[in-house]
Amino acid sequence: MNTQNTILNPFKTAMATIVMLFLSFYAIAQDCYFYHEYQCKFPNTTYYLSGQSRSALFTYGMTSEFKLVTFSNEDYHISICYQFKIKNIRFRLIEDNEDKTVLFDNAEANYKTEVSFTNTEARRIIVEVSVPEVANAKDKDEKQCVGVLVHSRKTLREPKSTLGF
Amino acid sequence: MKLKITFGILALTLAMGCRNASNSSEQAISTDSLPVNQTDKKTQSVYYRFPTPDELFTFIKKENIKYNPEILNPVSNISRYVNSKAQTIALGVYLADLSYITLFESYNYSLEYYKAIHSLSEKVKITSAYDLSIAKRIEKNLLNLDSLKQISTESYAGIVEFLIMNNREKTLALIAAGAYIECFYLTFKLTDKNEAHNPLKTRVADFKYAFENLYSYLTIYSDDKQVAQVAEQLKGVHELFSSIKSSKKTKTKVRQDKEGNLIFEGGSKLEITAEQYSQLKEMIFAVRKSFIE
Repeated sequence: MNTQNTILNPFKTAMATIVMLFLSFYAIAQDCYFYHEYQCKFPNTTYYLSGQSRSALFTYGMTSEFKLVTFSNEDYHISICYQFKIKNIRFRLIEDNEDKTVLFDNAEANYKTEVSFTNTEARRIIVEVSVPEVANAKDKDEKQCVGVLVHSRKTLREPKSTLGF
Repeated sequence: MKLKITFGILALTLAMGCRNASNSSEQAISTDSLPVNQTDKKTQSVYYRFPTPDELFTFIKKENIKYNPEILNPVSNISRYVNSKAQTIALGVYLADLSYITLFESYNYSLEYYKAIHSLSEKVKITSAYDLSIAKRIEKNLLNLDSLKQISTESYAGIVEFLIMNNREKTLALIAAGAYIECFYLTFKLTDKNEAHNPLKTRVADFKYAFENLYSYLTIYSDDKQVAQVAEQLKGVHELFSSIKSSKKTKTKVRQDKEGNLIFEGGSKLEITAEQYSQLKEMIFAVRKSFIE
């Protein structure tokens, strides 16, 4: 009995380790932990990372949004990244007021995954990400990560009224 | 036979693990599409994000403001914070102080405040998000302002991500409340003049949206006693920020410059009156006092 235990214990330990490693990896993959920081495109080094960046799980046919705060006279760079194999993932920036003005829609810009903008007034902006329905996708039942990486800096843009040098 | 049983258990464990992870994700996803009143209060159907202290402080360099370490919460106060609520809020206060310090290239202070932050983060059990490797990075970059600011920003963002991913939004709500009140306090100390054309007054008005997102976040997690208490403490600040109205000037326009960058122009502009400014300042100072003493 003792001999059997001695033989089995290293095997059990190895198996337990594999299980733990697999579950840890699976948990991290499912939670999209820091996905945006690892996968989304960074702007140049004049920008600073914003704590408003976010990653989340999506499925095909799903739309989700979050509310972002932007300040006046600052530049912003927003990039999205995703695990989906399709390329037509839509993201829009919508002013969060009564007008709901669409400030940017990547569907009108060849589904590009990044945008830079200067903000003249403080605004609340809704970041909306939509993954289209793809009926015959092989991975259609899988939940996959989508990241939104936000950077900001004080604006480098000169005021309009500046004359000469 | 035993080998088969072991593999059977292994397969079952994996299947259960996958199913549980899958179920929890499914729940989180499905609630996104539900109207607010049909979702569990704990599950956010609208996700509120709010800027970090570094983002709140970007105006400082632009306005050539002088560094004044005397307005910070001294690290010697750390011994006062004995319960978890006080420690968590103080952690936010010191994180805001560190952001202010790194902006002013005050290298010696940055290490001192980092140590206070590390000590408190141990007490509130988030050291894995704010570990000793950050101290080493600070020591290595004592003469590099940009790196220090980068470290400060990344550290705060790291804490936010760590707390959200570990379902500790309530802790995040308390830290953010401490950090925001300290940011507002420092801003008022720096923008002492309540003049009509003080450019920093615009910044105080701009804080309205950031604070409202934070307050909404606190409200979502107010089933927690400590978060509810802090939300109550901030109720007056919320009412004052809500009273700041925006003047509808023009419709928001989007134009593109030669490099292809977008410019969002016009729209409503937040305007704060001299009276609102004074009341808000008084209220922030009172809340800050209750947080740090």
